[in-house]
Amino acid sequence: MLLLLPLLVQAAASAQAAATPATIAEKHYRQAAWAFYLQQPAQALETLQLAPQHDARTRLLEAGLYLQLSMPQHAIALIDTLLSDTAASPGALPQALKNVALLQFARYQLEQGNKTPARDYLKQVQITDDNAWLGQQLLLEQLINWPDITLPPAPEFERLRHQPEMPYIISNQALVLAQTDHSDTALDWLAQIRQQLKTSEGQGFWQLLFSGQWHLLSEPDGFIYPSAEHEALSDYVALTQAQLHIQRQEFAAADAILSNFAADSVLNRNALQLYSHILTEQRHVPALLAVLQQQIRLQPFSHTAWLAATRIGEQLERVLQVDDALGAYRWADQYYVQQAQQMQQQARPVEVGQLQQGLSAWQQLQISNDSQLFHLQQDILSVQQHLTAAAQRQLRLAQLQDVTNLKLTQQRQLLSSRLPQLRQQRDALQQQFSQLQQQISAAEQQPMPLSLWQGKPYQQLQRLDRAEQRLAVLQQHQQPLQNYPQRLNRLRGLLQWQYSNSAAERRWQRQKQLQQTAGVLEQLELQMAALARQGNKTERLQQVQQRLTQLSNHQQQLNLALLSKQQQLLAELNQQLQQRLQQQLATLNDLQRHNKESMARVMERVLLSSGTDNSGAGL
Amino acid sequence: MRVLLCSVLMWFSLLASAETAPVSDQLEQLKQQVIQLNRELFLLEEELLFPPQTQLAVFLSADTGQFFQLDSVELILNDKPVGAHLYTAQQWDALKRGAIQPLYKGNVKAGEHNLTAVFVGKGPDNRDYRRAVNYRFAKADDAVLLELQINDRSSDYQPDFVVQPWSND
Repeated sequence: MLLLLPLLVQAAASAQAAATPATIAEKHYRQAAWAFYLQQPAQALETLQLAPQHDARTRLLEAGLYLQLSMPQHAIALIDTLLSDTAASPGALPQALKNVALLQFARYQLEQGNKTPARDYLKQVQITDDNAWLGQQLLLEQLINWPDITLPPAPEFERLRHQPEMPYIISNQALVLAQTDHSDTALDWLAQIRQQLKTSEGQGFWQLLFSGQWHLLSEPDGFIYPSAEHEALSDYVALTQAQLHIQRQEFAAADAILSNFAADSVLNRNALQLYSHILTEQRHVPALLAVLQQQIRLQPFSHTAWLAATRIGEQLERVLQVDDALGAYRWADQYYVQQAQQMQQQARPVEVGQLQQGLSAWQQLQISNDSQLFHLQQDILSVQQHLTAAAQRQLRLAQLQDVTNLKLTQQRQLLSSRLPQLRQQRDALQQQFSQLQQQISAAEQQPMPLSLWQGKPYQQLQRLDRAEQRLAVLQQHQQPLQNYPQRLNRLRGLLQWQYSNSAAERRWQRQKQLQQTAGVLEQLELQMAALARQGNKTERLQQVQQRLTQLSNHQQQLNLALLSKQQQLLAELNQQLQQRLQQQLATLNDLQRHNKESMARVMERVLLSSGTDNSGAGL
Repeated sequence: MRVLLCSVLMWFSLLASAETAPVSDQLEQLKQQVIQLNRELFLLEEELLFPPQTQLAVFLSADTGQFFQLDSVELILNDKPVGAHLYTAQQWDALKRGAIQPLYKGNVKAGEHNLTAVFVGKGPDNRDYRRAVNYRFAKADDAVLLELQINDRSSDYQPDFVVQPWSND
């Protein structure tokens, strides 16, 4: 019906083509769309609500999802906020989208029987220059104000050319015209509608969102079945025409329409009813009997079928086929007894598990024909979905509790053993390092410290030191020293020269090594700090553990509340079904009594006529 | 025992407050609580199971699908298959309408990684089409969020497969 979604998709595609960096909020929005298209409105809502930013468009989607989830209060609260934003305010909703929301909420209020708020929402609709949503607006206006609707001087085919609601709008106008003694004009308008009918376009994203027609989404080629809708529209107009002809006592014209009515039409039952009326008026008894039998066959447990049962006898009685009439009345009597028995059998209290598929034909019929019962059924099923999902949620909670416990154990281990051990090792390393630094600085004060030598010069110096010590011992024992002291002094001088010559380079290397070691120790310190931070998560994990316990309890309470609410709704559904059963049994009883009276009357006539025949024969 | 008592008390208080409101409103309140519970559970799962320090998430999006129709996608992380998905017509339709599919979420160690995505489907002229795309990334403290994009390339009427990292800004 609307071209809004292709526009949105095009907008997204062009945004990608332009390679503009899309925000994370936009990504959340498109992930919500994924869940939405896969018919998971709860998942879509969750994704949308996790988005870091929300704009008017996401809030509109949120409102639509709330409506999908049968949460109208939340939807209305959101939509009212959105509508209160003036058009000039930054990020305000475009008028076209505002109109979608206003129209769908007006429809919702109307369906709830709240005409005043429906009218208020409708008043705020401002149709844009392209006339988008005009048809919806006019149709809703008609429904809210029925039968005081606006009547144009001529059907507005040109104005409503692109509006899928055109046939409904104009046929409604024709009906009002017929009620005000302008049935000629009405019939003329209806005839023109049939010529104007075109195949309708697919529904748009926003309309689907609010109308909740999920089943249409499952078609890969499009949102709706245009040909089926076309047929239904055509049949609707034809039926309205037939109705007007009947009002005008033009039974032949009505007959011409209805005798060719498609047997597989969704409006077949209404057509049969009108047709039986015409045939009764025209006294076409054989055809009428066929129609009445069709009604009985096609509409079990309905007032129409029950009435048809007794009417067969009436029609036969009318054409003076009293024996056949008596047989028909007897059959109707049996039929009523059977219907009552079947209804009582099929009206056993409903269980939740039966609501999806296990309902009896009678129960299914009651729920399909009554919006209150239907809503009750839907509410019970939606609660059941939550209850079914609760088991999965409980598993997720249990898994999270396990993970938290494991992490807490790891934390405790880290804090109690690993972290202190690592700290001890780090402290020991740092102590050794500072001692080494002190030793180096002390050695640097000496002219030629052995500790600062390394490699071959270190060995040479070590040997020289040993030789000097031996020389000192020899000196103490007054041994001849020859020229050893001079040679050793010369060697020391040589080593001193070598040491002085390479001192700068060795100092630089020493400083570099010290810096590297300091860097490694610093890195170790950082890693320790990171570990300590990990250790600090104990508190958060304990909070999470506590929260999970709370959530688990909350979930159990919710389950209890949901279960209780479901039982309450189920009791109400069963009570209402029982009320309907009693009402229908009473109706059936009245019809049966009426049928018995007719049967008695015919029997009397049969007896009288047979008595007359017998007396005649006797004479 | 204490928790049980509190729960029972809360349960009764919930019932008591609920009795005053219409059934539809009560039901809506309960549904809202379920939604909140789910949301909180999701956030805790993110925190505990997929912390940013290790999180790798892969998403998939498509253009209008003019030159390619996706049948399946396989994800290979560091030469090990980590995920695969077969697409229904409904899912492909959702992607063409602008939806983004959350394809994979997992944990990886800090350091260098290699992700390969293998796309299988129908290319131009309805021919069988198989294409792989590689992406190397370094995992640090922030979560790595990658979007596999299937774009229509009008210059040569071929599909284009791109890995686009998401910015956390």
